[in-house]
Amino acid sequence: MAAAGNLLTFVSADNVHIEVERDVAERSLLIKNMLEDLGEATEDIPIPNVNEPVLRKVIEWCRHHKNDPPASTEDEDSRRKTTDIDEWDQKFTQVDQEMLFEIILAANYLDIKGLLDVGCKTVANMIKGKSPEEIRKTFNIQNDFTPEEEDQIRRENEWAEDR
Amino acid sequence: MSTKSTPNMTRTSSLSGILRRHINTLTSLLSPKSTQPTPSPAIFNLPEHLIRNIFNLLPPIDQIRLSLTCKLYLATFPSPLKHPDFHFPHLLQIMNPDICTNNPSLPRNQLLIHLETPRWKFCTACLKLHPRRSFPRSSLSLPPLERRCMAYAGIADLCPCISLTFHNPTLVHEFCVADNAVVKATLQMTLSINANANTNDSTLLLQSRYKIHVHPPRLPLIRAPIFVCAHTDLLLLSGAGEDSTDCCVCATHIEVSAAESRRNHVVVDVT
Repeated sequence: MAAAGNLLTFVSADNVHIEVERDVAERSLLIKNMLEDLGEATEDIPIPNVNEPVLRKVIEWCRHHKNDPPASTEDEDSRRKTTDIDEWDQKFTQVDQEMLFEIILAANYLDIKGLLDVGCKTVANMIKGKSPEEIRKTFNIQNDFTPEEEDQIRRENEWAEDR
Repeated sequence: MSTKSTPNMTRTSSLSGILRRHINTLTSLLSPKSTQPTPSPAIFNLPEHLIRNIFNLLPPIDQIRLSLTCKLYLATFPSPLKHPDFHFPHLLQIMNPDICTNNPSLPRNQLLIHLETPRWKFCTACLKLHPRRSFPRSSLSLPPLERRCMAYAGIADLCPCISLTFHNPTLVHEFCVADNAVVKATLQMTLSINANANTNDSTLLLQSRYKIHVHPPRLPLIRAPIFVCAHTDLLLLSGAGEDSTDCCVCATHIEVSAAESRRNHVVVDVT
């Protein structure tokens, strides 16, 4: 099943073979470094942590962004300050929560900075402007504070600090 | 006969139907709780460094809201409460006596209003959350930015770093004013708002207690003065051997506490 020329073959965790162009695959620093070490990829590349639907989404993102310039340190600073997401990426991240977190985990594992950013920003935007209770509802988080602990948090010096 | 038996039969069948329905509802209510534990939220699957990334993308107020969702996040994130935006606004009124402290755009106000619960309410006079019982009942129905715990509540700015409100009317501050080979003096300042409910008169009371330890017992001639008020040097005074005196310029009263003073150890109360 080895891919020829500019085509690589990824094998997802659920053992599905997916062909990817090399320049698309190289958006992943993990793959890029691996290919550089190997020279020529002659065998299938197993992606053991990512299942097929997620891997296809990740490849879709990489394909759309294959011509993006590499991120510079300046970009990194500006990225940290804003949670703006471009339109295509916004549509791309309109998936269910489980998929969104799988994409983030895959981007983290495959070391795809741009995608990881988009994922984190999307989650940040889901949190922004919500009360703790609304955040809990959004992410299905259980409120494990007792009423006494809730009081304690509000009683803490920091809230009332006037020195 | 047949006409009589029909309603009877329907009743029996409907009774058993109702019973069955009830049993079904009960079992359906019971079974998921007993067999399925609540699934862990998908966001908890993110490794710590990623959730920290997300946290760092948020404005401070959202950081606080996220960290208040559950114990895990409260323990995971650095306290954004330390963020300067949420500090108590010191010198707000001294710098601008007409300033409107209940400005809805102040981040601290926004945050505290967000943290309100049925038990904790925002007080626009003290710029703090108070327990519900601190407010008169009539004010509880007001919007947060119009609610005051007391008609005359407010903030007394004492210096750039200390402010007092009626809900922490006493502040004790202790520090060392002199520490050298001959004199060690510590000062304990107790600041309190002396509110008199009858006369509606409130004054700020400052009580200072100096504890001076002199070694050797005789005061040396060359030493740094310790001023109890702008006009009186404490060491000069205690050297004169008087037990109490009033400053001739300001209203400061200085009294040597005989009960607590010993040989080469003098306790002086200043009010």
